[in-house]
Amino acid sequence: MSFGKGKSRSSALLLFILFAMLLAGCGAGPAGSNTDSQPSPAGTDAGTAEGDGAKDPKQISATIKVWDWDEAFHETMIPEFNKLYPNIKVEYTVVSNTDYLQKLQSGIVSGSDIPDVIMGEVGYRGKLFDLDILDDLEGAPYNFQREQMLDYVVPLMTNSEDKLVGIEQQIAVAGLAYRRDLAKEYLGTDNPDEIEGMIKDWDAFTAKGIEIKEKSGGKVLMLPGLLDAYFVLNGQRGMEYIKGEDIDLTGKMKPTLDRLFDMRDKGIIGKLENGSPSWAASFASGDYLFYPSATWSPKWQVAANDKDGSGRWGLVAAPEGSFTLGGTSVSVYKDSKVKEAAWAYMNFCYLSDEGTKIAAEKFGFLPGVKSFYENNRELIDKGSEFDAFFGGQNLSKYFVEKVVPGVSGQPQTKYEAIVTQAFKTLYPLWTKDASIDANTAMSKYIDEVKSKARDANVK
Amino acid sequence: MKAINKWPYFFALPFVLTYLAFHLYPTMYSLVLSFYEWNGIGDKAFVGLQNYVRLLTDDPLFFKSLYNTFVIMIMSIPATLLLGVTVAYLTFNAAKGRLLLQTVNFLPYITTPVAIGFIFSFMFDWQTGFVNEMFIRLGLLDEGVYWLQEPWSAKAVIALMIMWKHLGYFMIIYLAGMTAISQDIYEAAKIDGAGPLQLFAKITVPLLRNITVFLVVTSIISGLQLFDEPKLLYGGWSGSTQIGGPDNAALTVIWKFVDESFISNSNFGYSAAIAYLLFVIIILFSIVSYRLTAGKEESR
Repeated sequence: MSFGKGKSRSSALLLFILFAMLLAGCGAGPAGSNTDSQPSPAGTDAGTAEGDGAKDPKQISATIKVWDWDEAFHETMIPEFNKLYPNIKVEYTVVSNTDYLQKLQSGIVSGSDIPDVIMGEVGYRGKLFDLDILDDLEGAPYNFQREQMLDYVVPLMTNSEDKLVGIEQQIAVAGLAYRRDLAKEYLGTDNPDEIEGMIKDWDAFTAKGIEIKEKSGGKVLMLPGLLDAYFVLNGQRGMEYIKGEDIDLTGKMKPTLDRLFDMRDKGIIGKLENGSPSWAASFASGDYLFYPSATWSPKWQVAANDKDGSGRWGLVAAPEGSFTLGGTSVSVYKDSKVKEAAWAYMNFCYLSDEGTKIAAEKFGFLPGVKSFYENNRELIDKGSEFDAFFGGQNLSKYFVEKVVPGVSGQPQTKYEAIVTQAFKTLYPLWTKDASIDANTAMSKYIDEVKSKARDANVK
Repeated sequence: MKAINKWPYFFALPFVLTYLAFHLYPTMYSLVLSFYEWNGIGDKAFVGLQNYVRLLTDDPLFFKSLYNTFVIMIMSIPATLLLGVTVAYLTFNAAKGRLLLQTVNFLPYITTPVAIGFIFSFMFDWQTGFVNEMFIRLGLLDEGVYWLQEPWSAKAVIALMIMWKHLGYFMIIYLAGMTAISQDIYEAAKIDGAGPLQLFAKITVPLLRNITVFLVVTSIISGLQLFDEPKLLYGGWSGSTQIGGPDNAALTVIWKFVDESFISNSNFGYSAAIAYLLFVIIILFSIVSYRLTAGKEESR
């Protein structure tokens, strides 16, 4: 059989279609392209925290893409946002925080869909900031000013070149959640102020731990595991220990390890792995007095793991100061075609008075912007949904008044995640093998970080 | 002169084009990438063979990951082969319930790896895990063993996951091989007085040599690409994100590759070099394993 002329033509056409389909599959349009974007007039001052500065919100017409793992938040905020900005369509995609950076990198490399609004969970934030894909929010068209944010969040929002490339979604300051029943039994009180007085520093904390351990016959310990203690101790020492390619791991971590190993050797810390089934079950079982607890923890950790524990919990500041635990930054993709619209949404949700009020009332989010605390005193006094779970303690007020003042933010670099990961790789061995001391652990820690950060000088 | 028949080429074209675009091009592009330093977003910097030199001379974690991969393979492949052929033999000769045995043994193979990761991480949890609970209740242990955080037991649990998952597959392949063996040979052997053990050792096993060669070679290829099981064992919990297990004792080459690309670092060029070195290692070991298991005739 051979092709006739007509057959030849039709086969050539089919061939062409196949090629065209293949090429269409390979070559997506430019990253972040959005044809319905109509940038707002230049000089929009959406950067003001009040969010009321855009010349005419109705003039901005665009579709923006947001990737986030918190679907409920956007479902609530988008309709509210659209009341002010009716012509901005917000499309959100649920992306898990564990896959977020990988998906983002793959998307950028392949030139496929990239979000205009990018989330930076603290676990990968340093790496994200280092990729040079985020816009400087202090430049045009945002013209935001870092002074508008709480002082401690600024290091968490800037990259290694001191450019402000993200805004904090909500403050993630932390103290210690404690079991009121155990506190009453072993400390003689469940009053947070009295407990705070008893554990003013880590020596006092350790001494109390030994006392409780003896009283309970070894049944009740202070913290469930080394990683929980690490979160507190390490978070209290927010400092610039990574400069370029130099990592002063000993300067940052040795005091933390010394204290950790001292508490481990005195037997006041449990052997649970943070996040494991037994760790989750321990909230309800009542074997540990304290748990690190950030603003988001009452809902996602305490209430989630101790379903019948309403009224059983309290919150107290950690010995020797506060710390941050978790947290997410929000940024604009630097090649976004709809920057003004993306910023308008971010500004509304995380900075403006209207948006932050809704987020605080609905989700208990306390934003990082100072003006919120100046203008919404009544919201703080009113309390939040999980106060009842914490025996009626006003958690927002406690966080704002007792925890925020002493906290220091950890500057974010590309090596931050490696340092934390290295600890997570090693701490189960240190939990298990009590013959490993702080000095041996420090040298092992340095080797582990060196093996992952090969270009860095680690000491 | 006879005209060329273009139709076969035409119908093969979609596959060929897809292969070129999505297989050959990425493969060659990865090779090119392995000579560059690139974070996936910024400009690429040509570094020649530096990535390979560094990998072979200045990255102990690469050798550790390779060592771990081989240890887990040695723990799992021979045992799975032995169990596979035994279970297949028993199933093949079972008077009743053959279909049930096949189905039960094959189920783990079609279970999603995420579920397997969860099942094993819960089973071997040192405080609440079923395994420790069982040993403690039987009085064999006073305190639970830290299964997932001891370097050797971590590897053993991963090997167990692989064995549990692949046993059904090995069994099915061996069963197919057994079906092809003529019953005349067995009958002749029985007449000569051979018992069941002799039939198994002298007839079944030697005649299944080709099947064994196939399973060994494919197991080594997939074993060197081990990733799902260890990753899910240490990432199955909501909050647990340990990379490489305790002291990197469960870090495999592909996990190292993923970690270098997307988790700890964004070194796409370096990761491409890992992938290509692994490619060379897989080829070498495929040839060696084929020659060792195929015998003189086939390997000639």
